[in-house]
Amino acid sequence: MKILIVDDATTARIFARKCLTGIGFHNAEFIQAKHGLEALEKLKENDIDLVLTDLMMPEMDGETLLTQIKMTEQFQDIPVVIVSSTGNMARKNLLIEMGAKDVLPKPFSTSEMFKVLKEFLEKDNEEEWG
Amino acid sequence: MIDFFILDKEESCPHEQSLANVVSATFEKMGFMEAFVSNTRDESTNILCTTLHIEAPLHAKMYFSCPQLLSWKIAENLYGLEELGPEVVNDMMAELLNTIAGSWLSTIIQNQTFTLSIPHSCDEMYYIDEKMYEYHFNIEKYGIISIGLKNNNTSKGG
Repeated sequence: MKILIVDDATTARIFARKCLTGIGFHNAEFIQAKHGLEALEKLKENDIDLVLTDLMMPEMDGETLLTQIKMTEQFQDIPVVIVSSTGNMARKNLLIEMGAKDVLPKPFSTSEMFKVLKEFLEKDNEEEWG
Repeated sequence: MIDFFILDKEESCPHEQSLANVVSATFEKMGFMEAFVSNTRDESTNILCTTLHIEAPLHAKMYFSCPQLLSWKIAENLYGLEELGPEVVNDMMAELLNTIAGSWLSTIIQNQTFTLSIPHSCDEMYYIDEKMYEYHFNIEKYGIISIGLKNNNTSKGG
């Protein structure tokens, strides 16, 4: 399973990677991008199964990235989980309407991440056992 | 919500409890550290400071200051020693401020979206004036961080 982590903050990308490994994504390959434009390049270059993206980023923000993914036939089925500190209910509803799979509000614990990503974790484990 | 930014100083730290909850959750979840409200600021001279703008629907500037030694301790808890460096510590400061600002505003502005600028390090340590609120938090035994919130509207009370 390939997971694309999109965030301009190194801290956030490392923290996300640690949490993903911590909740059991032991077989996943983590690919990183610093903003939406770089993420689109990574999507073209890799067969990504899941995108975790921040909202506020330079060059291209997470909302535009989500729109681009959902507008592109090649990528539109890839689940996108938004990880953001600006995730109040108004914003969350908007993002879900735009096609986001879920919104994980910052700060999050590993157990909160687990709740949002457990269905993907099952897929990752299925890959391990064939 | 508009009342929050009428900085009449009658209430010295509005929404302090909600900010305390957010800071506590942030440090616990991201840094595995405990944070408690403090009545004093850290008197260290070696302070790192990061700032961001709250651009809509409010207009304010938020600061996060932290003694340098404490910032390295927090980063150590997040990363482990082998990955530390000044660039990483600055990045962590920005990420913590972004998380605290976004999370706090999410709790006090329930039904509106809001916009935050990308945080950046500020060379100048912020100064306290009558248009500013300041909140302090003790991070276990390691030191005190401060969060400053300054009205950025040209007209008072915006």
